Amino acid sequence: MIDEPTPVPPALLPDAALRRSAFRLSARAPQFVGYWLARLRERERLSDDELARRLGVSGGRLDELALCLSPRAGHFDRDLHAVAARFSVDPAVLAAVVRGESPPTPTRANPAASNSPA
Amino acid sequence: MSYPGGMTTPPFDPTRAAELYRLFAKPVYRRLQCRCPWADPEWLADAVVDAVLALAATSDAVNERMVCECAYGKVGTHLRSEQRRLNREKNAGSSVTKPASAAASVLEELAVREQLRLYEDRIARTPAERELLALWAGAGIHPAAAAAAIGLSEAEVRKMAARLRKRLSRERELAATEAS
Repeated sequence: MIDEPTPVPPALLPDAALRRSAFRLSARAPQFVGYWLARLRERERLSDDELARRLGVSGGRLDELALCLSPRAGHFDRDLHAVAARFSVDPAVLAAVVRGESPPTPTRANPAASNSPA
Repeated sequence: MSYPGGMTTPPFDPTRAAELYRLFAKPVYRRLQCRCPWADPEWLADAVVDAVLALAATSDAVNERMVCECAYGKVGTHLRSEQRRLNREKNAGSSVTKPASAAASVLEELAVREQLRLYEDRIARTPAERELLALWAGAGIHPAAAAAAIGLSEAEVRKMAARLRKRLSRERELAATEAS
């Protein structure tokens, strides 16, 4: 008797699979902002939504932020502001994150952060 | 590749990988998923993100084709690693009792190699691999030869080959639908 072909598993939506990979791979090394986001998430036991609110960014862009490179020691301010400007993150908040500190409450208003998808 | 000022890597931009990811990750992921619909979605996504990170660090002008080929390269690396693992198991004698599902995964991996042929010219280096690929492609290699190569009965290999041909047909239909 010939077996029926194994059914193809339902495809995981690209958004969800890619987001998980971006978080997972960027969390491997401190050269990525994702590493520091993962530390903050672990330390303060935050969900994706809570992490996004903590940073004042859109939850839908957290994976992109995670893939950014951490600021270099000799160019800290310039690199920090490049990332902060792209994602409309308060530079003081981002600086605390990549230093492994608890970030202050974001001061820069970001309307996208309040009603974005996780 | 060289860059202005004699640089060997692109000018430093901390947001470069994020931009490449935003532009290319989804379309490349969909192409991989179309070619390997049975593959673990998380693993395919890892190949795409890995490719984005590698190209962001090493290539100045990146396009979708480059990301796609690099991601396929990551797939090929994974397959070779799996093939070595399976070969080790086979050499250790475990293939005698290997369940059919494990042997099916060998054939599936070889099927992916065929799909990667345009991108990876190092595949199918051994006669056994070529025979199995030919079987999967319906080129008339006797199933007994393939069966011997993976320690299964001819009937089991015939069934798996039929299954794989159906999958290939489905994947081609998907690709044709996507192209139209």
